[in-house]
Amino acid sequence: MKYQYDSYKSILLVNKNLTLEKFFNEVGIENTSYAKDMFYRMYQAIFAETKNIEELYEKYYKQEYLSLNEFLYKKYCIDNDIIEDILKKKESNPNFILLDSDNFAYGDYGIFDYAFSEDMDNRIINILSKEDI
Amino acid sequence: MKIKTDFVTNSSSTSFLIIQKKEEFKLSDFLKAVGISDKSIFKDVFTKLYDSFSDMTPLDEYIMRHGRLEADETSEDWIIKTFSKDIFQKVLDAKNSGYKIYYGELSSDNGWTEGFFCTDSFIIDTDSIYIDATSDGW
Repeated sequence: MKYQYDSYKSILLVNKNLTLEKFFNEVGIENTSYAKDMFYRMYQAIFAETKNIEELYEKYYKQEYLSLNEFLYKKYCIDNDIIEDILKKKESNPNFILLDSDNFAYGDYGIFDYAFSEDMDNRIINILSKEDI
Repeated sequence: MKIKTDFVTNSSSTSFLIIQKKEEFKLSDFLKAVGISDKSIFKDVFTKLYDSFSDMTPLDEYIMRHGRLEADETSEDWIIKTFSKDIFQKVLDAKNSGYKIYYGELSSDNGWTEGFFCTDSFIIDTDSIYIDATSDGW
């Protein structure tokens, strides 16, 4: 799942085992050509400068906020219903992590926009949060 | 003079050159050229790109019809101006090899996928096809 909490800022639910090679495998890359280059850039754009939200909370904010739930509510200004949904999905698989993502971190916003465009987003989100990777 | 009376949109088109080294330009050859599996869940993305490429004009015909050559300008000048000197050399080599050479355009107005490819800069170069979409990349 992807939840946009601010302009150009999103929370991504991702399987932590999704390496670049596994991403290529899910996409169906067969050899080194344009598609591999394109999806390489897409992977880099999605993961560039992302921060693991739970690690952030544990390391820097645990004393300030009593729970991850409260941290998401007060720091990210997300509604409780949505937080509940996000955390429920995260807890459904021990390999799922929450990443704080900046759409512009990679420097090529075109590929990030395209990855989450209506032509692509369902498939990309399904790969990011695939259960068994 | 042309007067635009409605919104001016930030859309654009970019040009590309295709050198077809085989008699036919089939989807299966194209998928192989871009390196994506025939069973990929993203096959449709590259099929759209292939479909965009199928609307092409032979390069010489395009230059004659739409090149808007200046009085002292040649086809060679136009290719160098539109693409590059290296591309011009590729065109010469392709002509000598008897390959077909086409000119085409991608538009940012035709949905997300063509819009992405329109703004992306890439070269696909295999035994069967050469596609240069580096001109005018955003």
